[in-house]
Amino acid sequence: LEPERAWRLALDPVQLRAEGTGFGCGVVSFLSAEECGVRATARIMEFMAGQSAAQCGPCVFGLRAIADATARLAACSGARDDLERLGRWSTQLAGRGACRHPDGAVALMSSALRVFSEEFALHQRSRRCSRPYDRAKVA
Amino acid sequence: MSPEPKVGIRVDRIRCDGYGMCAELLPELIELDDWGYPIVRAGAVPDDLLEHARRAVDVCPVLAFKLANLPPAPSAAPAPATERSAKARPPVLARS
Repeated sequence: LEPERAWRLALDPVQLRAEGTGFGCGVVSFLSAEECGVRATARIMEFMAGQSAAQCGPCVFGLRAIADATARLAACSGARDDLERLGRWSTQLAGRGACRHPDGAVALMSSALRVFSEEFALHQRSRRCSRPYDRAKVA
Repeated sequence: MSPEPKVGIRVDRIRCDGYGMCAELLPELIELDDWGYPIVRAGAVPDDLLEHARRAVDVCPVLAFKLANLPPAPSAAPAPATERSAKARPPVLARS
C-alpha cells in the first residue's frame, strides 16, 4: 500500500481490510520526518510486550525477546544476530497465542522490518542511526 | 462421500508449559521455538503419523494437546456452492 493512497483512507477496519491491510497492533504513532523508525518500533514493541496478559509462553517470552532485541538495535548496541532473530521470531509467533495479541504485535514488527529495512540494517551492521534527532538523544 | 474426517493437532496455548515432549515424539510435525514452546505444522495429520500423533498428545504432562476433526477440505465444498449460486442468480439478474 503506497503512502499516498494510505493517507487518504479512513481509519476504519472495514475500509482498511478492503485495501488488503489492517490496524496491525492497533497502536497509532506519529513519526516526525527526523525520527528513526527503529526507535519508534522499539517504543511500540516495549508497550506491546508489557500489555501481554502473560497466559501463553510464546507471547510472554516471544514478545519480551522481540522488544529487547529491538531496543538493543535502537540503542545501536545490538547483538550480532538480533536482526536475523527478529525476522524469525516475528514469523514464528503469529497464531500461537490463545488471543490475538501476539498476532497484532508481530504484524507490526514484520511491517516495520520491511518498511524500515535500511534503517534496521544500518543499526545492526554499522551500529549507527541515520537520524540526527535521535543521534543527539542517544549521545 | 469423503472416507474419513481428517484430524489436526490443537494446542491449548495457555495450558502448554513448554515441556517439549511432543516435539520429541513427533518431530515430523512439531518443532520447538527458542523457548521450548511447540510450533505445530498446520493442516491434517498424515495417516502414517496418526499413531505417533496420538502418543504425543497422550504424553503431554499438562494435557495441552488434542486431536480434533478438521472441517471438510475446501476443495470438496466449492462445487455445490457455485452450483447453488448459479441457480440463485438468474431471477435476480432477470430485469426484462
